Amino acid sequence: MGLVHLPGGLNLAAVLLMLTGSQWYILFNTIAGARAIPQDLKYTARLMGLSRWQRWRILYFPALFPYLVTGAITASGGAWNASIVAEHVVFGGRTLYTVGLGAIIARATEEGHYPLLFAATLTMITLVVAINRLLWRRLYRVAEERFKLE
Amino acid sequence: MAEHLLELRNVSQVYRSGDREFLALKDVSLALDEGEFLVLLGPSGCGKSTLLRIATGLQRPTSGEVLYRGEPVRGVNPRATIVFQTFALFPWLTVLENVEVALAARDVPPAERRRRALEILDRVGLDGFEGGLSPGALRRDAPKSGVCPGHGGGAGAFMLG
Ligand SMILES: Nc1ncnc2c1ncn2[C@@H]1O[C@H](COP(=O)(O)OP(=O)(O)OP(=O)(O)O)[C@@H](O)[C@H]1O
Ligand SMILES: [Mg+2]
Repeated sequence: MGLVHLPGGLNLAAVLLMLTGSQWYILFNTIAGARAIPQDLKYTARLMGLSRWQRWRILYFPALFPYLVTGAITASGGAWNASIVAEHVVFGGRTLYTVGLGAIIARATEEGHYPLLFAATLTMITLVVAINRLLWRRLYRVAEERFKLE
Repeated sequence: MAEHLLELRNVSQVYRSGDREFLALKDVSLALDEGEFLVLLGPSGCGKSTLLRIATGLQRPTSGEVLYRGEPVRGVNPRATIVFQTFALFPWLTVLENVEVALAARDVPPAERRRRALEILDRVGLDGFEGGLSPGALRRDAPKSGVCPGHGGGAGAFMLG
């Protein structure tokens, strides 16, 4: 928790906490993806004599892509949740806040500042929906249509 | 002793899982010469695929030797390939791109790949299939047009000179 004393340290710590919480979604999805690659496809890549880089570009990355997207979607959902708890810490009798939407929500809840809570929550909902539509849904469609292993 | 194209000497394969052992190949020896055509026949599970993987260097046998033109095979033999019963095409590439990948692996320069790939598809009667066609569509449509060889067959291996 020495991070707390650094300038911007709490922000960094909050990001770290969100990352440690969400990396598992991506990791386990990637493992599942790697296991789903047909053995014959891996053999064929070796028989063709594809270089390591070619194997990644032509086989592993496309095959893992849908799993990476699914992992990232789940992870980002988890990270939004985590932001509310990660952005403020009760530490040595003091409550520390980072700069962030999660912190605003947590603080407004604690202080009973309902108009602010309402506005911040609405902002977060809008952000989540916008990112879902603009980013995740597009990536998901690409994964579905282009990189599906039949 | 004459040098064979491919030679297997006393090849055995034991598969282990936990403390159980399964002898899939027992002391197989065979020799194949240039221009020869060999067919392996046998019931399901008798070890045909295992033998192909060992002959091409995809898998090291538990014991025994594999020689290609008199030289022990280390790693995958670049002069050998297998056509799997699942076809094993990259589904995110078109049929034409699949052919180009094989050429890229053999260091054919990019400018020449397209031309050679078209030529190859033409030669096997797949011209007109080269457009944006995916391997999945090929699998579905090809039998109807009678260009799909060996349906229901197993894997085949090719040793190239
Ligand atoms: N990786 C493995 N681990 C354990 N046992 C295996 C493994 N691969 C194959 N076997 C066993 O070895 C035997 C031979 O398998 P193989 O796939 O070579 O047979 P096959 O002749 O190709 O069969 P098919 O005609 O069904 O393709 C089978 O009994 C199989 O269960
Ligand atoms: Mg088999």
